[in-house]
Amino acid sequence: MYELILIDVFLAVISTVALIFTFLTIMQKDLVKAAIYSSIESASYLLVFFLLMSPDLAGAYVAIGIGIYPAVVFFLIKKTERYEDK
Amino acid sequence: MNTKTVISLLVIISSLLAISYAIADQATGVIPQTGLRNLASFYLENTLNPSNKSYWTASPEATSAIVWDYRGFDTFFETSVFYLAIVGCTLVFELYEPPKSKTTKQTELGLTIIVKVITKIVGILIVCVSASIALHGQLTPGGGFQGGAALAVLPILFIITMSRFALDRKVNDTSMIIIRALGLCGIGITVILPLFLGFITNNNAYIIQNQMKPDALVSLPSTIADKMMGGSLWMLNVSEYIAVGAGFTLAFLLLSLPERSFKKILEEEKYATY
Repeated sequence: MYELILIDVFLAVISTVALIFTFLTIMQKDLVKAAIYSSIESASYLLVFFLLMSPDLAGAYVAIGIGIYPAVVFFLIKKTERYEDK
Repeated sequence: MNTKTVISLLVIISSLLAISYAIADQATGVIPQTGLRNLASFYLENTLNPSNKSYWTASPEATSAIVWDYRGFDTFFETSVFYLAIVGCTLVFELYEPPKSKTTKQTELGLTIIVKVITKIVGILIVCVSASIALHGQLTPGGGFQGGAALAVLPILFIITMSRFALDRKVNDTSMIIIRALGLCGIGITVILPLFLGFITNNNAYIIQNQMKPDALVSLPSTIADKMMGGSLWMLNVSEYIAVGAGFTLAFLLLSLPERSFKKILEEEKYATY
């Protein structure tokens, strides 16, 4: 019983962290920092998927969300500009 | 923190609270559901059921069984979408002649020798782990896409640490297109293999069929050397692993092309038009 409550609390904390980093990603003008924040958000959701007992989804998410997606964004930022105009 | 940020935060928090309240008040139905749905019960009962092999998949990994067996067509079309996305990427970045590096010395490209050596060691680990994820896809969580996506991290590391030109000497765009085509051919062959076996044994068979069904007595080998292989699941996982790994590598090779090469070609085309 206590384990279930602990998992629920942990899920709430991780989801809140993901929400905070989503907000920071949207508000950030430095696109490199925004990509890193987005990657941290992905890492938070990875933990959520793992706690919700879907390791298959977590397996895809760890490579896509933390490895491939930020790399693609970095490549694209390199081809444009790092700072978003105000 | 300015007024705009405070308002944005307030909107996000109030929306979150409103949605949470609606869900907690059962506006979207009873969450979590008290019992299994009929479809979920069917999957759980039949995925690995040696006592009743009417609809079994010979795999203890229910997710892989659903992805490649029960819902095989969905995954087949998802793979087609990924294939078309890579085709689109190739067309966008099509160059008449790939750019060459100004220097031919390996040491002048990329980061320091320490970083390069560490990348090579990590690279071996990435290949082993990704292959393990794909090859054990019918036994443990993971599969072809997860393995291929993990493998795709390797070219990113190599491009960053050793430069795109150093990687281009070993794996170029053409070789990746060929490897990806081989992976897709593997999926295609596995998909139509039951039909071929059915034709030989004079039995009814279906496309993407894995194990025998009440009206189609064709099965792909469920075990190899006493190891549970899940019939067609491991073949499809390995093919998907190759196709996804090569597809992502191709996309990164194209994305990391230097901007100057495109500008040069575009300028040449502009002058040719006028």
